[in-house]
Amino acid sequence: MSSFSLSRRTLLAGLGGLALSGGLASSPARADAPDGLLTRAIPGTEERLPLIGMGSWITFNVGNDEALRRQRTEVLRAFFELGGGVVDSSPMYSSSPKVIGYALQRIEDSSRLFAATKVWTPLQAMGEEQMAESRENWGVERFDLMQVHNLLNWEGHLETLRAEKDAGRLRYIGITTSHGRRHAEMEEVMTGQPLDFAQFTYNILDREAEARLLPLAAEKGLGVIVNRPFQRKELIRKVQDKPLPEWAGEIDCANWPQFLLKFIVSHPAVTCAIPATTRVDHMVENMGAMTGRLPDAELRRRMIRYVEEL
Amino acid sequence: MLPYTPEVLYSFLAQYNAALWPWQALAAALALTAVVLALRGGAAGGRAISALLAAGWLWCGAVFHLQHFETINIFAQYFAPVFLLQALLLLWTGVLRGHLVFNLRPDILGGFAVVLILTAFILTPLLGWFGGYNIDGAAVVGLTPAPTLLFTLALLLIAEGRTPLHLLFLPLVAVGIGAAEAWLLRLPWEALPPLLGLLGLAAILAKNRRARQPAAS
Repeated sequence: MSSFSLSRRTLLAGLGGLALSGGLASSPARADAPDGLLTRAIPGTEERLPLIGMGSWITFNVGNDEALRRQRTEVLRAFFELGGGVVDSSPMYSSSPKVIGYALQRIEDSSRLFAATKVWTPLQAMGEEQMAESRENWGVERFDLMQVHNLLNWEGHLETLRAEKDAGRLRYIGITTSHGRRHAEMEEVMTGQPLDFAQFTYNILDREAEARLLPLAAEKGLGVIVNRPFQRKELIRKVQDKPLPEWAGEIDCANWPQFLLKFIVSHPAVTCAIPATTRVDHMVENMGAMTGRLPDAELRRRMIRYVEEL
Repeated sequence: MLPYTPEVLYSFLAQYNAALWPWQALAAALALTAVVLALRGGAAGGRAISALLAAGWLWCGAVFHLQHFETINIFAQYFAPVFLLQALLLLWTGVLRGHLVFNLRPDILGGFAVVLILTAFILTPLLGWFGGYNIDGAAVVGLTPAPTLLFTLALLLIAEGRTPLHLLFLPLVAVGIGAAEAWLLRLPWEALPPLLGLLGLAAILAKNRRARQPAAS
């Protein structure tokens, strides 16, 4: 599939080298991203994605409440204005896909949108219909990325997704899990199936993915989307009343969300993280993680120690 | 983990109420009718009350869950069968077979039933407001699951003789759903209906046990 060939050994050597070189260099911005924003290439392609995307679990599920829909539109508008690209959702998120579609209709410039959703049904035969419904809800002609949600009937759905990709109706395909569940099965699918992306949970306290999934993604040339970067809100609650370390300035972090996000996206196998928020000011904080310096391997270890001791 | 926040839940309930108005008045009138019939007792009243209870569960399954709540909670499609099946069981047991006769008496069971009825009518609709949300999102008996559950348990508590166990299982499931929602959304005041529901179920089981024991000579 992909020609990207970052092996586990290369990855580990790279992380070590970063410690020597004093930090991960900021990737050059993609052509259509504002200058100075950190992006990373989808493995095996020239296409670059902004390091911070947007999730929509709970946050965009506001039903038919017009005031809340307008407010979420402002959140998404801020996301694009600040250089965002990847928006991730799922049919499981109830009204979130429709609210994203509502917002996209009202945002003047969403040209950077990288539309990512999922197929979530036990029946393979229902997959195509669900994807068509998702296109209608979002108001897009095709999705950039379609993922099998929580590995549900992945055998059947991957067959459908490959056919859709071959026919040009999808650009990339992938699988997802979250909360650290079913990593062994993720590993099996990532190893044995032709995929473009894998999505799973990784954050400064949930680092199980470092052992197998992240190195495997690098070895197989898969893009990695990281969900639950803040353990929903738990991580923020844990740290919000504590001071940022003075050395956070060395990696241009002005607040905790940036600190936590920079830890995630500084892992070289990560393509982007997808924090979710209901607030414009929180979106501004999150997107700030896409600028400035990223931590090197030594600083990453220091970040872990600091947060674990809080 | 639920896919919505408390803010979205109460906003949804307010929209639901706005969409249904003035059905709330009719639902309340029908529920009051059931209470009056229970005061009178009798087989015909039992069939009528059973039909009214079944209508409430049918509405909660077919209209509340499948037509409305699914907008913000995709799992509502799995809750709906619980309510639809309970409606069928009430119809079969109480209307078709006539096995339910209700009698509201001034005794301890009647007293607890009145507490459940008042909670369903008055307290449950105010819970969101107590929690700082708009009264527009008030839950109405017959149209919304929590007060419908409490109202049903109140009447099953005053059913003469033993209340059939097959009418208690799905209310227990509904108690679980309500408790899970209160817990996951961290809304302690919304724990009141499932807590009272659990007490109501326990009281019904205690009544059944007493009804099975032979009278002392």
